[in-house]
Amino acid sequence: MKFSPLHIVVQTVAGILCFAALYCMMGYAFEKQLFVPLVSRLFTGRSEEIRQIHETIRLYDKVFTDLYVSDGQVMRLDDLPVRTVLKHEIYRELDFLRAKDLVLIYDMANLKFVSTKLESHFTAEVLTYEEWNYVYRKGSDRKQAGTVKGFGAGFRYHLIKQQGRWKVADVDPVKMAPPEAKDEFKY
Amino acid sequence: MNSSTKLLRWASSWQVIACLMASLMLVSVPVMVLSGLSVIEFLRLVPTKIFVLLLFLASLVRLIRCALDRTDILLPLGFSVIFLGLLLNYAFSFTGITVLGPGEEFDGTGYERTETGVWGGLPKLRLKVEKIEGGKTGKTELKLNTTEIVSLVAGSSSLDRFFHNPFSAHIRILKTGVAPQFVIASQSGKVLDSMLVKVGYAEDEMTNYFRSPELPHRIYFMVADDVHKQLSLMITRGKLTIQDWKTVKLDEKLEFEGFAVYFTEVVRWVEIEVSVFPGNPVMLVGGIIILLAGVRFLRGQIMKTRP
Repeated sequence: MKFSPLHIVVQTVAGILCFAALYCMMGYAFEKQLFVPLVSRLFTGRSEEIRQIHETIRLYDKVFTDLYVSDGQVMRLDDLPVRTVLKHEIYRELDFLRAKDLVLIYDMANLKFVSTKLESHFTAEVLTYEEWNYVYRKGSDRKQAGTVKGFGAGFRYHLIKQQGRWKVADVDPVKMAPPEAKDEFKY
Repeated sequence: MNSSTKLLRWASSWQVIACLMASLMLVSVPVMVLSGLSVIEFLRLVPTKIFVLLLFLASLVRLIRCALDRTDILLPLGFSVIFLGLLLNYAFSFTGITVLGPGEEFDGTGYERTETGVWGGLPKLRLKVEKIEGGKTGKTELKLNTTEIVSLVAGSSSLDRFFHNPFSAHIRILKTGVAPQFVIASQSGKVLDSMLVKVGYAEDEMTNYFRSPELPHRIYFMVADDVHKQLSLMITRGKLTIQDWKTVKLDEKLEFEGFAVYFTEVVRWVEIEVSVFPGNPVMLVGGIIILLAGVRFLRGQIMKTRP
């Protein structure tokens, strides 16, 4: 029996696709950690993934602020989208401040996402420029201890995706100029 | 012809072998791009191993069929040998990583991390680090098995050893760097913690930090001067920078918020990867056989076109 060239091409392409599907099924069965997020990534667009990453950072900064203001109330601890090692670091600082009878009040004035890099399907790196105001208050009577200070600084967030959820794995300070020059008033 | 023979003939046809290889290549691209896996890491995935086994069996049956039909066996032989080489690597490969300092000896046991094939074992190898030169190249001189001297830079491997003996252990310098011995003390001088922290020469300076369970701060550091042993330190707490970058010398104390940090020593280190892939020379032979088959095929085509 002779086959036409078109028939052979169609048969070969169908064969390749069948074997590729078989590979993916085996990947799903034997390499769950790699293939499950990979498949979910195919169905979640890049822009959606970036939106989720930015949301995670906003949530991190919000809960981070709440934890300091409330002197480490554990109610929001589970909302903090970070790895356990970072939670320990925050709680070590809260203990340090408590020992000095101080509460640190943070207030985020501005958050700008400078760049977002999806390094793989489960890791991302985000550069931000943040402006914060902060003041220390006495823990006992909440009276202000010192003046209100402010700073603008760059931060590099390392994020990982675990069980379909982005988490902050680490945050490093980065030397950077403000991404946009602020309006200058000339007199 | 019964149905099982038909199935065997179909499974060992060139079309099936080509489809298997093409599908493997088709899947490898998105998997490697999306997950950041290297080719070696992709080859180590379980489905890839199963595909390599299927390819080996199909090539082997094809080889037997060619031998029985008295047709050209070079091409199926080449493919069978290549896939056999990959299977040998899955079964007997060994990769071990160790970190050593200058003058340190390594007897081939006690690797920091290892990855072995199903029946892979430790290679017999003795190492001594003769010299580690500083800087980004990280040139390192190693003495192997008490006689052989190998000089390598970071990222390079002992390729000449492979050509001398293809079954010998492969040595690769992954990275070199320094490790300062940091001490954290209270303001009164009481030592609270002490640790040796590794940092690679080629690493991003801003991400090198350490922390101690004794304090809430992070201490970022970078090597300001490797020769004169000077480090730059920056101390942060939460979002706040408590101490901006400041260069300190050996034993010079940097005080911050009731604590002090200093370093007492800086040692150089090298991260060495020792690997054995017994299938690599087998795969090389398979590649040569396929090349020969290609040359023979081309010669045949040329002869056919000649009048």
